[in-house]
Amino acid sequence: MLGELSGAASQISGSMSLSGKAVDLVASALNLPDPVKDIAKIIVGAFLMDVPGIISGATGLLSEVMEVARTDYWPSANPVRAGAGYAAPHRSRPVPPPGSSTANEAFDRLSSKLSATQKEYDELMDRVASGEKLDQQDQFKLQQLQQKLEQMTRLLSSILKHQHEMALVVIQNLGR
Amino acid sequence: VAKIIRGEAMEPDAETLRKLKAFATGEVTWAEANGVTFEEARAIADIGCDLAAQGRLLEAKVLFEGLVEMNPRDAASRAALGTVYQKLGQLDAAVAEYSAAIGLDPAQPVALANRGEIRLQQRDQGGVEDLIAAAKADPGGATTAGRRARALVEAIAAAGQKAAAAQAQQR
Repeated sequence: MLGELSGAASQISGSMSLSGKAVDLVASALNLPDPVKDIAKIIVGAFLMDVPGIISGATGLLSEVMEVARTDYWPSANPVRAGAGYAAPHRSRPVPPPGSSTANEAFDRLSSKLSATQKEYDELMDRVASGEKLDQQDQFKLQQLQQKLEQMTRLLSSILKHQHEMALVVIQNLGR
Repeated sequence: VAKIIRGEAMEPDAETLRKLKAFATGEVTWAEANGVTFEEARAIADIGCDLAAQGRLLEAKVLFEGLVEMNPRDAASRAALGTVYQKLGQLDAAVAEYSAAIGLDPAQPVALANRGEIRLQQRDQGGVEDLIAAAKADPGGATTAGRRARALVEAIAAAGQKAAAAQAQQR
């Protein structure tokens, strides 16, 4: 199937002429959503140097393109490739001296607390989603959990940023 | 490590020094040097995806930039960072991250589909190859990007076939 699609796509990039209207008809027949139709118009227009077609496609697309690029974290199904550059799981870490605190420890503690808080929050939200009416105490708890999640996320962001900056300093210092 | 960086500890232990040197010479990533596992990184990435979905792009950017800095070999983080740049309108930075992700994992569907769309918008026909590769990389349509790539390729193919038929009729 993909071979045929590649072939057809190559045909388009050849010398055929195709109007934006034809793309509309095809896209409608395939039940494609409007943003996809607009992108298809741009594709066809670009290959044919069909300037009015490109503009028509781009106008419709501009408002949608930001929505289209959804942020997904999609690691490889191959565990070796997905885990490249990360420490092996269950790797033992050096025990820090008592009373010391590093960014990594804070990061670990916060990640673990964040997961627990997120779980509590998800449980309450599931109850809401199933149509249950929360009592006042649970509503208050939900509000507090939401605030806590926001604060923890901000803190986690700043720890990561700090680690990023530290990494740059290390590179600079060791490079001297 | 922080004390060494601040100059408060002059004599790091041998293990810390070995890790720092390995990191500085590119033998290990910052994540490996600090014992950060894939599962921990994935938990952070999930938060980044949620932030991006809520439109909190600058916070998502900080998270993904941190993840990429910790482990530049993580193709999924690089692709996710690309989508954040794309939403922020930083298309060159987005394409650079997508290309880095594809270099690390040639079957990265998020990077392939989004780079394909950007290239097509820039009238680069190579975008079609990216879209076809994205559809091939995600045959079951498990990702939004893979499904979108397939829909686009199908639309192009159908339009092409229709045009070919119309031309044949004219002759």
